[in-house]
Amino acid sequence: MRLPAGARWTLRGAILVFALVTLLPIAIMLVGAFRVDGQWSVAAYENVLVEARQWSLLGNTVLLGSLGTLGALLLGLPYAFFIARTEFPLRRFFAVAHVVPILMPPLILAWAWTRTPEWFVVRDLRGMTGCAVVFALCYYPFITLLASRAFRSTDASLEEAARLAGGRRRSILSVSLRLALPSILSGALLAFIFIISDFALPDFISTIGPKQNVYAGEIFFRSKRLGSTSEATAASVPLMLLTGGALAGVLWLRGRRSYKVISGDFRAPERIRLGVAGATAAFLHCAFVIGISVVAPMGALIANTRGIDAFKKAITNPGARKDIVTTLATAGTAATIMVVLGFLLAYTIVHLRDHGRRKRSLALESVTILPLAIPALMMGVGLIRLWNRPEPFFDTVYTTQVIVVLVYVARYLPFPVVALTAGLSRLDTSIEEAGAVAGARFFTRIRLVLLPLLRHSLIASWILAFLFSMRELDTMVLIAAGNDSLPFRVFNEIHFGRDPEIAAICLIMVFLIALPLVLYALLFPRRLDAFDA
Amino acid sequence: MNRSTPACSRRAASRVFGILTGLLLVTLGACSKPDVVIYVSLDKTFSESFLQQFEKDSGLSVRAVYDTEAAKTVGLVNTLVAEKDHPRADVFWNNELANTIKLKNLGLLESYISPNAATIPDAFKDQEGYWTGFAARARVLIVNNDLVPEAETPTSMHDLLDPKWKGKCGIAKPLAGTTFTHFAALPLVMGETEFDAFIAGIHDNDVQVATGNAHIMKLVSAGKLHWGFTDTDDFHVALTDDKPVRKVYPDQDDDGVGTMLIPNSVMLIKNSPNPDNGKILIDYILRKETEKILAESRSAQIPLHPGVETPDHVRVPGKDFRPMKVDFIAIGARLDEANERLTKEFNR
Repeated sequence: MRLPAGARWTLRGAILVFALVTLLPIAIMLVGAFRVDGQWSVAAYENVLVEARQWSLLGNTVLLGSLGTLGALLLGLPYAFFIARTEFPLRRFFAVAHVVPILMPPLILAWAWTRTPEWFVVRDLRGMTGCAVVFALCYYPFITLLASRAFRSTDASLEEAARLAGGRRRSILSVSLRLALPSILSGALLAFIFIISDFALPDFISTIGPKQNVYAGEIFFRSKRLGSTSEATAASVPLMLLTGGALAGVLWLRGRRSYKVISGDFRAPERIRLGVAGATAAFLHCAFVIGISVVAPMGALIANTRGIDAFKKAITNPGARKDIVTTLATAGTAATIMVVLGFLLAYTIVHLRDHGRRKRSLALESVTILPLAIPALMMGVGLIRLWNRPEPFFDTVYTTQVIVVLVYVARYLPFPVVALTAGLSRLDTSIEEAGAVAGARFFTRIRLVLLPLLRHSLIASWILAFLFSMRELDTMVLIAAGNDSLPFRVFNEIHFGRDPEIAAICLIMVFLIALPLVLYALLFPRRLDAFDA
Repeated sequence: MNRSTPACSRRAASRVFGILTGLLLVTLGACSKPDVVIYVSLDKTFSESFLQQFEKDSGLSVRAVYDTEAAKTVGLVNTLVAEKDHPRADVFWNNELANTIKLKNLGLLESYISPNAATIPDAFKDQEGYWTGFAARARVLIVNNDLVPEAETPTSMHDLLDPKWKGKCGIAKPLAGTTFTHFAALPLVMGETEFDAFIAGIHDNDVQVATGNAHIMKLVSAGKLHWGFTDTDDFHVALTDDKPVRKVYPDQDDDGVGTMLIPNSVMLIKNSPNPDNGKILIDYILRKETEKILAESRSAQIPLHPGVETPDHVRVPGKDFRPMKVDFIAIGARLDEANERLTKEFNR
């Protein structure tokens, strides 16, 4: 089915907008690092990359990423298996509760943990271990979400065949685990990418214990304190290569994900009925994970508000109110732009793939996911280089909330693209073709056929984009307009505020981040699988 | 093809559209141009409400750009330098002085002598009107009451080198903020040779180097360090949070160099977009009332205007403690040299 000219130009326009918003800052940043005092030079790279300190920072960063990811796997993998494949008390509760840590930025989780009671075993967060523990608690949901989906998608017939060959335990381990492995590794690599890019948590951990030197901190130091965006960019390159390698792994694994085995006669595997000891172990593991990642930090936040006054103070502070409204508005606007742009890009990816141009489709899909490989601070430096110019148009963008919206779009567009590509891939192409045969034009088909069928994927995409935008801190500390964001306020309050006020503003932030997701879960409790992509 | 859509779906869609349009309008509303732009390196927690009051009193809208604890003052100074050809800020409220002098030397400031600066002592203002100091902080020792008995209280910066405190005391990394100004001043006060020995002694005695003065305050408050150097505002935060700490104004002996006093400074940016409104804001900041507000606030700043009423916990220099004699002009002149040297020593 050939698209009309108007549709083709619309899709090309979407690709152009994506390139301008996301790819151009990355390109400008990388090329700009070769410009020193108006001349072409490799001095920035020489200054940065020859320092022995850089390699020790890189080692620290990789070690932190590995430890955090390992911790996330230890917490998340058994959890995913238990909720997806077994029956035990409160399983349904645990199947929902593990999403909550994603709603809490690592900085809030860490602060909350430091305010847990004295007897709390892991209260004293310090150094590399402290960072790794918090990251594991924040990012194990990546593993539980992807792995539990994969465990549920294992075809029962494959397991039965394996069981016939070698007994129950072996069948589960050899079939379920092997089929879920790409998803597990994808979750682990995503966690790794988020951990090694994070600036705010190591910075916070450094304020309550020994200095925690990581690469993201080095980029911040060179950009903000030394005022050298060239050196900040040069310092970013090893980190970008690292995240790029991890993302390439995710893309490769995505192509091998287990749900490809689902066919027309797919049968979901039966849940394993555990004995008393097994059910107790499953319950205790899940209760432990939720206890330390949700109950303890949320409890600490609530307890530290010491009553309602702190909330009143937070809400009546005109500055805080302004930051809340501004953040909601910019994150909501950015999420809407991301869903529109993400739909058009996803449509292009699927259309190319369904019409025999798989290489182009794969190339476009890979490029749209690329922003995930760019560390937040590096993306921030790129956007500053692109927009921080004296001409009135650039000046208006850079000094207002428009730059904040652009930051969110540049950072988190991959989520809607991935979710909507998966949603569109599930639709049979004949549905749209039937609309065309009935005489509906392209935009009418989109409006009356595709959008209604995709509504849950669209809502899920909007919520994901909104959620991550609301949490964004690393670029907000770099960009002046980010001063008016809620995460920036939390970052400042955590350094200088009183505990009740910090706890109140953190809870308000978590509530606002969670609100759309909670509303969706209440309205459509059976459609939470829209987030699975 | 049937194009009819259920009425409830249409209603839901129009509601969603309305909400999203509302969000967009709020975003666009936040994009309006302000009457005056100020860059503020005093922590947002301490300065925000003051600027909100200015908006109410003057009727002018303010866009304030703050620094983070992680970037200290240097982040905004670098921004001002980067924007020198097309300044966006009208006013810079710096929480220290050394970088202010650097900005003056770079030609980024506009002279403005505020009538409200008349009673501020000459030592704390530029005679040509490029900057004016106000509301100072002192560089004090914060000591943990539970870990350090009264009789063993450190009294001098040289106690950092005492083997008794090896690994138990700390300073903020002297690459930014008031600690940088302090360490940039020390070679002028104690002489280059003694300063070299002082730095070597800090390394030898395993003095803990933290990310900032607030960090030192937290480490001492939590009992992870016995004592350390911090600023009076950070100390006061610990005190109001009921932490077991006490304050020492160091080097008060007859042969001591005195306690370093670092004022905030405010200045008009050259070729700024709204200079007239910038002057109004500077006048407002330099009022006696401002110093009183800052003295009574959680940051407990020390007034420089004579006769400003202060709470008991805010000590008066010259009366309650002896300030270090510092030539800020000389510090500003050797700032780059100090930065290079201290970066080599402490950015490890």
